[in-house]
Amino acid sequence: MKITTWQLFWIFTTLEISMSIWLTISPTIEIAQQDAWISFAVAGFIGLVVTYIFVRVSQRHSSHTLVEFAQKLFGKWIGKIISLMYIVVWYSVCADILRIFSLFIKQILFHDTPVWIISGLMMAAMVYINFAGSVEAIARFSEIAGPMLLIGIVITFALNIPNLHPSLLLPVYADSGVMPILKGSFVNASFLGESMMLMMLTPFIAKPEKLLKPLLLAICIPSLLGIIAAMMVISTFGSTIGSSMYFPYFGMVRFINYLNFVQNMDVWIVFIWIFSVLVKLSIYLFINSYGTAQLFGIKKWQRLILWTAPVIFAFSLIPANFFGILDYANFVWIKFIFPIFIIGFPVVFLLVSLIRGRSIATS
Amino acid sequence: MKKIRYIVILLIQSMMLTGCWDRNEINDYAFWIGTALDITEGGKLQKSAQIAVPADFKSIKGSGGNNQRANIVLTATGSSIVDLTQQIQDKLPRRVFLGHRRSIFIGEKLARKGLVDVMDQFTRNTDTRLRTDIFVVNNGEGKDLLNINSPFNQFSAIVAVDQDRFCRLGDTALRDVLIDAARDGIRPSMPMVEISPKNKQEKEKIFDVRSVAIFNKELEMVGEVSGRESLDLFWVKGVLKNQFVTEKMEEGTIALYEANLKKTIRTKFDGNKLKANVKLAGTGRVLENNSDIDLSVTTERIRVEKKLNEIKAKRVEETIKKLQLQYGQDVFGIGEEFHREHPYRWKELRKNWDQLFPTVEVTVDVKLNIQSTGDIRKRIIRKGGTE
Repeated sequence: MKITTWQLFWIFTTLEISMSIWLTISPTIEIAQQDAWISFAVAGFIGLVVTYIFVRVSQRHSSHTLVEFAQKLFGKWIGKIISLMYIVVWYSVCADILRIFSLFIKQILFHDTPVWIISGLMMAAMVYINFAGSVEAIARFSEIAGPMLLIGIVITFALNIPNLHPSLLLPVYADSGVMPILKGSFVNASFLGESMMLMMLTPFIAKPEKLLKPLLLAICIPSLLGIIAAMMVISTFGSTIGSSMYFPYFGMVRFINYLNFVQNMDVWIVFIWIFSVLVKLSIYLFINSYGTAQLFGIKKWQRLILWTAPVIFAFSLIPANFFGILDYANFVWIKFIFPIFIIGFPVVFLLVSLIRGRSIATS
Repeated sequence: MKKIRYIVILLIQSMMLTGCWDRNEINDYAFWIGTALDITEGGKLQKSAQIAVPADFKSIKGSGGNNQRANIVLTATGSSIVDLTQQIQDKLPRRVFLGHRRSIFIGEKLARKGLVDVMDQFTRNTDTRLRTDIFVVNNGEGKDLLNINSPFNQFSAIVAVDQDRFCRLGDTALRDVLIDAARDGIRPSMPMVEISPKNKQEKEKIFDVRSVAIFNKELEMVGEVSGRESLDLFWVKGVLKNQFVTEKMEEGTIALYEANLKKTIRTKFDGNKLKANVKLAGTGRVLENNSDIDLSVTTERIRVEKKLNEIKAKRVEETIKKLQLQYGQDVFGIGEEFHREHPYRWKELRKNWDQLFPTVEVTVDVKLNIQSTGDIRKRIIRKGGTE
């Protein structure tokens, strides 16, 4: 059950792209207006820094997951509490994404289908891929889904060129300023920070010492696509329409009409994009099951899938409507999880690990 | 373990058996091709729909088909657009499908009253597509337009999109209107259609697209320009791709086909005054030369180009002046140009741009380039008759 570093690259690229083009463009435009693309660039930089920290922390404890090395660094009980908090975060984000995914599919494709059917089918696929081969299967799947998504997105960018009004990107900087650009960058930076799941995955990587390059690239490519997507959305719809649409990238794909017969491409893009959401959700299901098993000292982690999956499924049905889930991203994820779990704790991990020295890291 | 897996698979499969909620056969749909919005005498909203009747399609019927129109126009009166959609659904045996709508026609009366209350639905409703053309019907009602039965295509809503070529907005018009309406330094403009048959054949078959409706910040139509002025407007706005230019000189008229039209606007502050310089450029070929000038002679051509540019620049200046004084709405986007070039000073200007726009001093430079004189050099039949 080992994966190569480049397979890890595809897992991360796939899940970061699927989130960046889906959930972050509209809130960023709302804050930074036509300078949203600068925010995406800043976000990419923040993403690189935090990912660098994750890589360094993980490499120092490459044979252990977060649950194990936290206990080594802080002692049994504090370590367990910290890892429990991380796992709660991962449960919540998995449930949140599952629900918002189902609502999105319902909104654009199936108006009359109940939400739980869509999330149920997704959950079934997630459970299946985890039983069939866990990380290895997910990695192989993302090696197919990732390139497809990349190609699909690049094609939509190319076909959208006739719709652009580049002047809508001007004036640069004057309308927003430093603070809005920085504040806007936290949206995508917090999503790029999902690479923190690396801390759970290092024991499954064949050559953890070669992690840095693929992972930083897995942040660079989605950030670059995010920058282009934001520029395209702004120059297709302007900052006002762009910020009031929930999913402006998909709105833009819908808008493509090339030579009067390449139309309604959103169906194809959504089709590919569902694959990459599956990558994201199933890797979360894996982390949650594996982490819970380690936390409670259960040997056969696969059995826990049968516990984790229903819990996530049940949680995903709790929010009453669309806004509850979007509020999760805006209020919980960006305001609390981003500073505490993505920046705060990993820095502490790194410092403590450095102070306590090599003895712990290698033992 | 294996048993559990089979049970799970069986459960999932049985879940599917409960049926498909969103399954709709294609022949259960009524395809909605065009929408018309009007206001009734009593001030109520009236919506008309052009719905496809597939059985009448000529291609399906094979040889020639019959002379039916392949669509039916339905009308309902009510308060909100969705309420009207429900009423139209009540008249149909099939489920309405909005995804193929190509154009929206708005009666002039409704346009003058304001479109703020009807626009939201076009962007919010997930069944609709943003890629739609939008027109104001000059001196008429939207539903008249839907009743037109063009010999080129049974759906007048599709014909209108294809015919909108003079400003080349095509089916991005709704998006462009929405972008303009959301900005401070530009006011929306929409193409106008008009039904004015000139002979018996044209009656109920043909309509014109040749004017532009001008809107204010509140999306109320305040006026219109037509013909050459509307082309000038779109040229300065930067959406026009090509046009015919016919100008009268002392020696006679010269007509050019101008393509690759470009515009650049430069703005500056001169004391308290706002100044804008519009540069228009294009390359062209001569289509008609009703003067005795031999355009193949370089000195002559340069003289004519210069003369034409002066005349054209004056015309465009007049158009801009007229729009400034008569309607006072910045449909050109000169305000946006100030926004781009002087973003910090724009923050003071944006609030009262409607008052400032008529005071902007606009100068126009035109640079038309004659690249070819057509198939011949000199006129074959001279005007004077003799050498």
